[in-house]
Amino acid sequence: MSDEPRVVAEGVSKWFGALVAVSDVSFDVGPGVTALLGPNGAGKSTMFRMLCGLAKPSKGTVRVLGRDPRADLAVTRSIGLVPQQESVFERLSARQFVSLTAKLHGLREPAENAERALETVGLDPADPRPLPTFSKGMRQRVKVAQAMVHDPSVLVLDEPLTGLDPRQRADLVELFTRLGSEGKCVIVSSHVLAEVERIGSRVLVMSRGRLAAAGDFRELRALMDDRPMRVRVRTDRPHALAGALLEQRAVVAVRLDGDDVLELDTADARALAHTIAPVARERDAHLYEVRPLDADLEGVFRYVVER
Amino acid sequence: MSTVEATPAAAPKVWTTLPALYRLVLRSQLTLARILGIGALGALTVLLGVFAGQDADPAQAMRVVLTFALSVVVPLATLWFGTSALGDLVEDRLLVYLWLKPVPRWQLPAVAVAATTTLVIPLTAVPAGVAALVAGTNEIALEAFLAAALAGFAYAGVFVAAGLWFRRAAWWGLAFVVLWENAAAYTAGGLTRFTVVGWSGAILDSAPGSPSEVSAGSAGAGLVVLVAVAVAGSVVATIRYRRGELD
Amino acid sequence: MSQAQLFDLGYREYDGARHRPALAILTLALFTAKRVLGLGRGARHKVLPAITLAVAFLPALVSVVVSVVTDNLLEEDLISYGEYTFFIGSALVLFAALVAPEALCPDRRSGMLGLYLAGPLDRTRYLAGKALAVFGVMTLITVSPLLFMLLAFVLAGYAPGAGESVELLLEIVASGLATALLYASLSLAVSSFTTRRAAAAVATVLLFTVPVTVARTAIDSADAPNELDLMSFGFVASELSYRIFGETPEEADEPISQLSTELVAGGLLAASVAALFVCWLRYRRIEAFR
Repeated sequence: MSDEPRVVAEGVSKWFGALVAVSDVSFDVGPGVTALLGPNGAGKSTMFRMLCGLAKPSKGTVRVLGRDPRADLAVTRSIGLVPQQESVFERLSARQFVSLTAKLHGLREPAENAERALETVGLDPADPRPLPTFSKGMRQRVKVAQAMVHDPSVLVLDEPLTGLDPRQRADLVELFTRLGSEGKCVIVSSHVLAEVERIGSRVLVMSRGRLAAAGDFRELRALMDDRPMRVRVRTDRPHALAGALLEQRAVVAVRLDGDDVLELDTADARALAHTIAPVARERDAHLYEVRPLDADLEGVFRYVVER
Repeated sequence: MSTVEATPAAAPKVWTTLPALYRLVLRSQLTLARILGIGALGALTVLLGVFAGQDADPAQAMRVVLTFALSVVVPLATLWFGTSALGDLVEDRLLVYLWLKPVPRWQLPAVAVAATTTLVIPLTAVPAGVAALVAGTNEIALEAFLAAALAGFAYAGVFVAAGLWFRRAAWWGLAFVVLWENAAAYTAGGLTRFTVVGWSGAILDSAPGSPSEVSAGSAGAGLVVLVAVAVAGSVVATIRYRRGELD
Repeated sequence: MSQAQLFDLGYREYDGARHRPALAILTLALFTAKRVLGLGRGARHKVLPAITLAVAFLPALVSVVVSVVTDNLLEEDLISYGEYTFFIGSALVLFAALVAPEALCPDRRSGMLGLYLAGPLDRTRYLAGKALAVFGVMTLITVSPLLFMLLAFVLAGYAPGAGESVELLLEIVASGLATALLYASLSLAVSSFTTRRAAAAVATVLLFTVPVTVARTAIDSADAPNELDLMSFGFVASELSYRIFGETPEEADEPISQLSTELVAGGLLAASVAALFVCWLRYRRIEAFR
């Protein structure tokens, strides 16, 4: 399994007249799952389109498997895209749509491959209904099936979880995770950060057209040294514990919330982790819960885009 | 679905991709409303042939009917099918599913022209020939059919390209048909050779009695020009398609 | 010391006056008119309306320029008021094929119709607003060029006396409104049948080109009655214009020219009303929510 970057963007910018949609973005993405995050209008979809060769960068280069996806048609055989738009071919069934994709990719057994792809996403290949009659979630799964039917090594998924119910989302999250672990390069964007977190920990965060952060989001959290981490502590002696913790250098602020909850701001989570138990023991306080509130992906995301 | 490194499939064969794309485009254009609408126009053309047959001078009456067929029915029918062949895919943002495939770019526009022509010929060109037959002017039926068929082919190239190049392709096409093809061809003699209707008229005019209101030249030249326009349209559409950024 | 106050910045109900639904119709009409003319949108949305308006104004401009240059020495006007509608027939059709589909089709295609109907607009009011917009925009092209011509001639001193000019003005308005009514209503009816602007545009042009050929061929070759020429909608409008201005078309042997003025006017009115009725019937049955 090669760990070489599969998708490389170097100094990529894209503007539409006076509107700069993407500004000087550079990154490389290898096998595994990478999430491309950002608020609406951050430039994610534009970036995706450039990664697939659908749009030409105004500046900079994009390479997929070392080749220019716009100039080299052959590289499209290795790319699967789930686009953001909901529209589907009106006169085709799911099987016909995915079979068509398989044929256009040159697969020798397009019908069989289409069936397999549809079954993988939990759809019935024999369903004869035209695509517009499908629910939003079913259409989304058909889109995923057509992106996967030719077994591409690079999968670009623009909001693939939209319109799915929780069970369907969980199934697809499991699928994407498996594909990532099998060595495929999966780039996914989503607004459902809790689920993105389950898919993988590597993120690219875009904000206002620029790349604001890249890497493992847990490591990113550790880099956010100008923002104290917030920790929730549930205890039977909140006042006593609060007073004692305020004497610790690692603790910047304490808030009491209700009868048994403290919210601490700490500039040094590691130090706090070492001291909180001994301090609690000294004050005879039981600790029922110690939980970071903003060490998750959502916390990182908010910090990065609001800077 | 579980190979770690995807084995690149062989490049898709043209005899697989062309028919697949053709069927897709044909299917998307083949709506009941369009078939009934254009079919009604074709039926009207035949009805006009019936009326012409009752005229004291059927040949003269057929000039009017064939002018109607070549300057209204064929261009507008082809406009409707042609601009929507790829234009609808752009409007519905579906082109991405075809663009991101290892299929040479020329295939989709070529298939769109072919599919458009496939629909236009039976619905407009055949009725033009039948109208000549029912009017009792059998001697011009073949030329009527050929003129309409080749005009449809040429217009298909023009309008398929328009569907990719212009956002409001149908309206630009209407302006082209109404202001240029009809006004220029019939009022300014020198401009006739720059119109499709002028060259389809040339083909029609090769029939006995020269039954066309306009003629840009010889029938042979008309054949070459109309085919060239269709091919040029496909090439121009391919140029636009290659650029991408269509939705 | 003044009293300190904390203000609630959250959601607040609107307690003010609420206008009658009629104003919603007017608001919709104005918004639609602006949209179809590309006002408030990028330059490229103005190109098509601008081209059509330019084509419609061209004969008037040429007529005025030639009159001024030749110091009105030509015995007859280059183009008379009565024949103007006939002259710009192509531009009228193209404009109708642009305006009505743009006014009606996108709302159904995008689902906006459902949002409109969730407010004070019911289907009839919605259609009234749209029809008002299309009619209003069509009058731009049917009235303005002639008004321009009249104004230019008045300023240049070539116009007839004040009384005649006022009469001319009334005739311009009457002719323009009648033409606008016909083109607007027919194109609205066509546009109510499809959500695709392209299909509506093509069908609009067909409506103004096919019946005329059928009618005239039937009249010429199969001895059909001249009344059938009332299906030649474009010619009905231009013939009525001639009659309003008291003029006779050059080719006065066309079937429509043989019909009485009452019949021509009645035919125009009947076609317009029928078309609007068809449009209304369609919208009663359309499913507004996707």
